[in-house]
Amino acid sequence: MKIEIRNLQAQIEDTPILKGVDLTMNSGEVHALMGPNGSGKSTLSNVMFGNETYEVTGGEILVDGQNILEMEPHERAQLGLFLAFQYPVEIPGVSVGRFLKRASEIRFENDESRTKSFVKRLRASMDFMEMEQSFINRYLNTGFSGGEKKRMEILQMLMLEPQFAILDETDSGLDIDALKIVSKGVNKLRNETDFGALVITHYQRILDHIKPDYVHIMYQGRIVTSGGHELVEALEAKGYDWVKKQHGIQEEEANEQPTG
Amino acid sequence: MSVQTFSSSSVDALRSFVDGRDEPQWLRDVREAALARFAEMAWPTAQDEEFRRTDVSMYDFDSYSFEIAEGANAVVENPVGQSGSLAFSNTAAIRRSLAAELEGKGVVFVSLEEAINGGIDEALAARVRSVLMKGLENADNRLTVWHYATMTHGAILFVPRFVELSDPFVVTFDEDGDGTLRAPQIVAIADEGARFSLVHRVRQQEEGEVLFNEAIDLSAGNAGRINYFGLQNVNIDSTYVSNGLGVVGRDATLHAYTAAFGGLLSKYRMDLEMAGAGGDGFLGGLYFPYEDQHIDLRTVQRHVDPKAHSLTLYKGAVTDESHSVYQGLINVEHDAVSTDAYLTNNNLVLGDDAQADSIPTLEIHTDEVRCSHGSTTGKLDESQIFYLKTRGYSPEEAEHLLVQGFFEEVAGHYPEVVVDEIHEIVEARIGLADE
Repeated sequence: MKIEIRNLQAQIEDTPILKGVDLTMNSGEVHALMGPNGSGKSTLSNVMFGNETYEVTGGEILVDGQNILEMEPHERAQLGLFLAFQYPVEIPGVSVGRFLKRASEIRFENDESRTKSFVKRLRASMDFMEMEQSFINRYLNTGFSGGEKKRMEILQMLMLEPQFAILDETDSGLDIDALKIVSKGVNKLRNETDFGALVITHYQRILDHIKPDYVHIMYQGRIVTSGGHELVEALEAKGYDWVKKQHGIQEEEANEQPTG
Repeated sequence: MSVQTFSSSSVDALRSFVDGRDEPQWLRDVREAALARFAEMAWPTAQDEEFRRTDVSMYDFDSYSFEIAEGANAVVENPVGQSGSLAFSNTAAIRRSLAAELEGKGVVFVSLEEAINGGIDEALAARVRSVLMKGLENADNRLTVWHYATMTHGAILFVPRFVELSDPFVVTFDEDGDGTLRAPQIVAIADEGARFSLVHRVRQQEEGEVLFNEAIDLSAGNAGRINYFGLQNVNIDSTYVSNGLGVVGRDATLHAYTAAFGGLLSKYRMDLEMAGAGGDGFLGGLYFPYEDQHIDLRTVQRHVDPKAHSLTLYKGAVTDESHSVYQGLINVEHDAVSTDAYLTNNNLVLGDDAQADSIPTLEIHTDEVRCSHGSTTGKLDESQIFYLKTRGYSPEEAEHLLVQGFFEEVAGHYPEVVVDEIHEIVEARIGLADE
């Protein structure tokens, strides 16, 4: 799968957030997207999935040459895209097993052997993610801890085997053990299938466990620089101010003080 | 089998009905007491608080005739997975069964007609009488009192001390009449430490307008447990009036679930009386009116004795031009210290012309209690729909899953014998809402 984002612009309630994003990604590659709060990282993931809260005002997103901006979110999912949410919603009354069984049927339509082996696969994936089997009968995300919700996102990803996934700050709020388990899930798909991912994060921590092939830094709604892992190290050592100076970025809001 | 018809419900007509019945004294006492109150009362009007949002003044209740069928029901093989079954066609009990292992344990599961004809001994008759009298005493409007004067058919279930049954008893009413009143009665008594479940199912042909006026009287003795599951799916031309009372003894548990789907107009009331320390009461409800159905449900959690716990969870969805009214009351009396009571009503509004009203109330006459209520009314959550779409669910399928999920907190407790039926009815109504 080839994803080409070209000059993408989007706003929320008349406030422009994305101001011309260009990014090309393929299955088989892991891209890291870093940037400070408010730079537009989460907006990009929502716009890629067609969240109606955001209005696209320009540009396009091509998946294997097809512009997906006119497609419904579920049609984008059916192409093989996946979004691991920063804040997964709770869905009371719908059990994990029931929800995932149907999602799997939709993803692998007409694949009877997969439907038949669903429970076996689910149990194996839960073991891999070090989750109790009792989660199958619990209501989706309802009463889950923050870490359990993030693991549930990755469990879903393992079951649905997307060709390309966006992981929206999956690392935030995770302790080191949970972070390792989540990373293990991502690496499993990466090693076993033709899988690509856009890992959105503030911090370098998760990138120690999921080694990116490419690193992009976003600032004020644009990708200001891209590179390899050395960019992560430079950022870690010198902070986001270094990026600002390098690229001559001015603070947009007059009352915002540059941080040290 | 023969059917006797009684041509009107005026006071005089009911007087001659009661006088003319060849019934044992315990039942005659109930009818007499009801008739005495009936003669003194007027039909409810929109001036009565409970009927303010559900106007029944267009009904000519006096004109309603009713019938009582007589003739022995068949005793049939007991269905697997049930403790016993009792089936009615209109007012006639037609089939009954009891699990073989319950023979000789003192479990009594009979039709009202069998009870009239000596199917219960004197001691049980006295208890049934007192349960019915308690229900009558609790009745505060003429419709309910009318029920106890007219009781046309019904089921009586008694489970003796410390008999614990996991399979439910199932009472089914099938209806194909037209233009008549039915006044079915359910009595279920758990003796000390007895535990059982009862499914009460009402179904009707698509054609025919019937006025149902039922009463459900449940008595959970000390340390006993009753799980009651009502499922009403009559047609949407009929009228459904339902009054229930559950009395919860010391350390007893009573969970009463109501699933209400049918009726052009329906008026539900379910009361819990927490009459013993350590009692645990739960009222669960689900309703999903469509087209121009109007449903009004009221629950009362009345705490008489200290240290009891009660919880109400009523969940409704409204679509098309339908209207639901939910009124919930927690009433804590002076002696009921250390009461713990909570009430929740959630409504989903699925149609632009549909309306859901929610009116929770607390009346607390003592200190040291924990009581509160919560109520929500709104549309489906867009963020939940978006989440499901990102997993490939179409917007329609996401809506179906979320509505089913919304009801599941109540529906999921129903026994296997009826749970699929509830899911199917809900599924069909969401489908209609999509059109």
